[in-house]
Amino acid sequence: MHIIQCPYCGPREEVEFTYGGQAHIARPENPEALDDAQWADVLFMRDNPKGIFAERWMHAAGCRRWFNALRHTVSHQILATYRMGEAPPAPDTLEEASR
Amino acid sequence: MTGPDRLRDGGLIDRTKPVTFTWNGRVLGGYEGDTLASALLANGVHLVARSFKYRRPRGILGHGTEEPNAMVQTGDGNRTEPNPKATVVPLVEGLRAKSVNTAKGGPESDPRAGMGMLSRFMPAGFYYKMFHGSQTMWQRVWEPIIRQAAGWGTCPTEPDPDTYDHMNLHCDVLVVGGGPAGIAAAREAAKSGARVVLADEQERFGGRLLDRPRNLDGLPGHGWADREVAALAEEAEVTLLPRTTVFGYYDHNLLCALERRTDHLAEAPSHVTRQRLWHIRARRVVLATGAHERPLVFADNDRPGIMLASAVAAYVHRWAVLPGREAVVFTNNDGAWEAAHLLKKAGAPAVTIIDSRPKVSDALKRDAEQAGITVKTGHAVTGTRGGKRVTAALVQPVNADGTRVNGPAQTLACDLIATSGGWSPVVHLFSQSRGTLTYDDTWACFRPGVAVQPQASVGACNGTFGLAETLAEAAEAGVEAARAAGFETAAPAPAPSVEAPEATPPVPLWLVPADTAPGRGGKWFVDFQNDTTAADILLAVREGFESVEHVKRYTLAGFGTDQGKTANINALAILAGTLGRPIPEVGTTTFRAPYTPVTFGAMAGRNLGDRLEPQRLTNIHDRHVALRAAFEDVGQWKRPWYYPKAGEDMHAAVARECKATRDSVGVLDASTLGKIDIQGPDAAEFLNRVYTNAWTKLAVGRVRYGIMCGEDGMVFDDGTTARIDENRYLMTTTTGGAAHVMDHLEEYLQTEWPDLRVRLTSVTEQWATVAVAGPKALEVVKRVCPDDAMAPADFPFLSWKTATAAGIPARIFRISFTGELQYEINVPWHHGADLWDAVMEAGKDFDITPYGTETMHVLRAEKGFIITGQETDGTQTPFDLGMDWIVSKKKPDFIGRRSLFRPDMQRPDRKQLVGLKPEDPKVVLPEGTQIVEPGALNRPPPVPMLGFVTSSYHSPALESGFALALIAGGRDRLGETVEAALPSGPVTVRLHDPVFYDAEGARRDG
Amino acid sequence: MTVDTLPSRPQASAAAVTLERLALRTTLNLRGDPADAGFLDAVKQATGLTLPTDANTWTEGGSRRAVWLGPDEWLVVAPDDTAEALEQAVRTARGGDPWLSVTNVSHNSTVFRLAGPAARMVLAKATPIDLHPRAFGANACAQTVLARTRALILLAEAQAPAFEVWVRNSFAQYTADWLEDAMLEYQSPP
Repeated sequence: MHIIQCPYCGPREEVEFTYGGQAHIARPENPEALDDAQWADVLFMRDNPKGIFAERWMHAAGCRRWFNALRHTVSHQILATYRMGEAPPAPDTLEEASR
Repeated sequence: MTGPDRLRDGGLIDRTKPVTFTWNGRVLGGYEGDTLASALLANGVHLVARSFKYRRPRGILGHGTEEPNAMVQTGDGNRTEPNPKATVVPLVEGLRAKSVNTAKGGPESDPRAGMGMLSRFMPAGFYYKMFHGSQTMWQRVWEPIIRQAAGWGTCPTEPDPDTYDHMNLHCDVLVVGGGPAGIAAAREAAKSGARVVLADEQERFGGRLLDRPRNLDGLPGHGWADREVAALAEEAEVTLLPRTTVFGYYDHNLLCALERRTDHLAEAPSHVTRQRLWHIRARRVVLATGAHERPLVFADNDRPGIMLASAVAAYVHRWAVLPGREAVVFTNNDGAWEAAHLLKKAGAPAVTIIDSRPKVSDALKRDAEQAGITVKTGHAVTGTRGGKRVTAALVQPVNADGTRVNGPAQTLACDLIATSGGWSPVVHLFSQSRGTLTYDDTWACFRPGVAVQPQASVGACNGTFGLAETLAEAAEAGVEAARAAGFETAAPAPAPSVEAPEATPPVPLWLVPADTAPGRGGKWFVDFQNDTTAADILLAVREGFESVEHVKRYTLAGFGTDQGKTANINALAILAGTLGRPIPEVGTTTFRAPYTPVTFGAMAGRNLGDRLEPQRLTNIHDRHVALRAAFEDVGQWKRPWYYPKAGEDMHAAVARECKATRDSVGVLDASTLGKIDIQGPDAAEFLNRVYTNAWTKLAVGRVRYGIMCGEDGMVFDDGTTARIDENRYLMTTTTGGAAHVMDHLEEYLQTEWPDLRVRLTSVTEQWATVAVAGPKALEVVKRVCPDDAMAPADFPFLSWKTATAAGIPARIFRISFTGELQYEINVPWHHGADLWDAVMEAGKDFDITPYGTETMHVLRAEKGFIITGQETDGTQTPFDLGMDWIVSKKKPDFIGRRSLFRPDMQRPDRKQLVGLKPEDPKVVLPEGTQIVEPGALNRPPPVPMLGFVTSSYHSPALESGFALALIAGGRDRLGETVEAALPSGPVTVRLHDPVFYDAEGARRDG
Repeated sequence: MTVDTLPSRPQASAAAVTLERLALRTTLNLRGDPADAGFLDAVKQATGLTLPTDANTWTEGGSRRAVWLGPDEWLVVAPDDTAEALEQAVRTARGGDPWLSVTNVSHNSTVFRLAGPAARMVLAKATPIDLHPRAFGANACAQTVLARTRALILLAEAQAPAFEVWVRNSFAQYTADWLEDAMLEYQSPP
């Protein structure tokens, strides 16, 4: 059970949030311009890294805002959360817990 | 009166409060402050159980949660509890307890005691080899035998009369363990004003200070603990949680704890829950969980009367019990010598120390001999004699590294063997938090290495065994935890003066030798609860197992209700020795929650019965109840399913409701539909993108039906949307899909199209909705809304208007899910029941009939209207549903368009929505029925499947059964017959247009 | 340990915690951009309320309240007015801005008042948020989880304390049943 820092409401329990999968996959401006393989890639193919992963969350029981998070998939540490439209913080600014 | 082995004085028991209890039908006595185990020992009861597999007599090994043997059954009837450990059951007046895993007569006379004779035929892996060979033999022969023979306590068969609950708690510093380390850490942390929680599994704080004579600041250990805890209780921000076991350590410093609130009371107050599960979120955690002593592994080390040295010391010192008179203390370390001194001081006539180390310090030896204790160093106990209690120890000289005996055995008569192989830090919670362990060669134990979460381990659980060192380390950790949690701190107060023996490390002795190897002539028990022996581990290695996790599963060492607290380290050290590898290389098995068993009741808490899941009710619910509606769960909503009159079954009620609605007028509570208020200058553009059809030209006052697809082109919800104003719409969703649709819309607005100026507000429960449907609907609505023009000519289909309904400001929608003339009247939620009453009153003359969801389903299916989730399962496009008309060909983009126009989505053999009409009108196909080609069932399998039934009912209007189905290429086959595969055989059905009733739509305007 | 501090065990009594259902109040859901001073001014002019821009807080003006729900979303509670008049006042003050969202939600929720020294303990059984006065003090509010539903919890009076618990109407019975059950141990005589 994580504590997730909602960029608007502050730290809240994971039960208040819903998960939205990998972040920074923009819906193509013109989907018709993509061939089937490219479209399938947009719809279905996702990364599954061991390490820091940018993912989307929505504060469902709170302000209902979507936001992005950087989570370490091994430690489950959430290194940063940031608002939609903002760039993820640079890796060297992240404070990883000692491991 | 409270037992022959109770000492005349001493102990932390309350001798002014005698307690009577029943053990295996015998009435015995003890005192308040006793555990069941200490009271049994005071009464001379050592044999309390039979072992799991071999049925060997077993006694009490420990004095706390580490106990592997002494599981009991407490209570009676629906309050009976299987398998608590006698060592942690508080003795309360009237306690009834008995042995588990024994037949009638208790452990003294177990008819299956002969199992021990068969033991050489049941080594590790026996279970897999013997019973998993043949599935049939397992099910028919072996499982019933094993079910009958094995198992410990019995579960109650009646519902639990007690209640349980959950509580959330936030703190700055959680200290787990209320021994000297925990108390010192909590005291220092609390000084900063931080919110501090101190939890301990026992009723009384003090931990090991209660078990052995120690002095701090000139006070006896328990006195010092009492003083410090009293000071903590004075602090405004300190929470003390006695009788609370922190059993799980999860991500981000969430820890779960079980508080036993009433088990220590003879009469539990009825308004207090029996147990409470705490969810504790801590900024910092200090683990002060102590250590467990581990037994030495020697031949026949399991007889009643063989106990851990620390337990013996505790029974003498804390509970004033003399557990034996002729005692042997068998150890590889100095600490256990204290047990010998305590026994001697308590009056045991003969006490012998057998120490496997060739040499011990002169002072240790001198003190013991002065006390009248016999000392033999360089010796080991290599076997035991006895039946229901140990009667003798075999003592032999051993070589310096403890690998061989090097002399003949002597028999030493005894009734107690206290054993100690050293101490294992309780690293369970640390390990659960995914901290890594490190092996400490000096102390021969695993202790915390690198932490992953914000925490510190202090005292024995950190491998710090000296009391003075522990207090210093803990005080520092308390200060640091408060500081790290953001509080101003000062240096710790001066440590208390300590009088305690110096802590010294053991000389490891993992497997005690004998004249024969393990497995021959005796049993070297490693895991008492699972009857796992050293020979089993050796066998596992011979059979090729190397990984500690595999060996655990093969031999069962470490499983069970004690999770191997006394067994794990011995097991892996023996494994390492057998493999010839260093212990840290073999590593430990994974520590998992819960640390000690947690009742299902505590996990469920109050979320039981009606609270298991919220039941969402409309404002009109009471009316439905008064009409004796049968209810259906739709999502979390309780919706009226049908309204049976006296003598009616469901079929009759639904037929009556259908007929009344088609012939006169019916009324439905439609409040549950999701409603979303959409505002903003780009609202029309937004609707254009989320629905498949075009929305820009919908006029204010008009309503349109729409379908939503996912990006994969599959239908996921539908509903109507009304244009309320220039920049404002009201969308309705399905009852079950409301939250999902809202989330879907918000997701696109916030993440894909933040440039669109649109805002959404859920107003599902702002409005109560009453749908009036049928040829007489207008007559009813005219009476409800006398001041507004309601006739279809003034109020066309697919439009809405504001009106006054029964004096209440209302929005009325001309939409129809029945195919009849229909008005959906919306009023502010809390007027819903008033509106319902007014409609019922206005409809009296027309015999207005409330109808439920079942009738709604029949009526809409007759019209071929889909229900998402019923006709769809996430794999249907609008084309599959025959709704090509709702997919705009002109819009350049909408959600799902790119996928919908892939050639594959247009294939003619996709499953398409059609109607089905059985040749025999009496047949109502079960929903889900498979449809096949005629005669297909007579041909050998596999039988190609054409499709399946999605909805099926009896239609009073058609006087026949009918169905909707998804059939491959079905639309081109209307009029053909196919077969429905029923268990009773094929039934011929004809493919039909999905619209069965009023195909020309003449009825919707009355 | 004071009775106001989690998780102390206040003396059980009828006054330890009480639950009542509040009468309906005119309530608007308001959406707008707090960075737009004109918007905040217009709301102030129409309602007399300064919309809170600090997360998880509420403000008051006379008998009215503004409750923060999100970065661009508030509840305006005005028991002294009708929803229609208030909505019109806000829209007029904003000069007919089409990008202003005002929705009448007066009937959308049921509001309970949970008050008394044990109120925090009762709520702590149901919600994972930190209710300690240090974390949830005067003028605090939060949208969160309550038992198995969602709620807006608002500390209406810090001293008593008294909380308002807002749930969607359909969950009102469930919420009342759940809270009443959770209150039992504090109300029954020891």
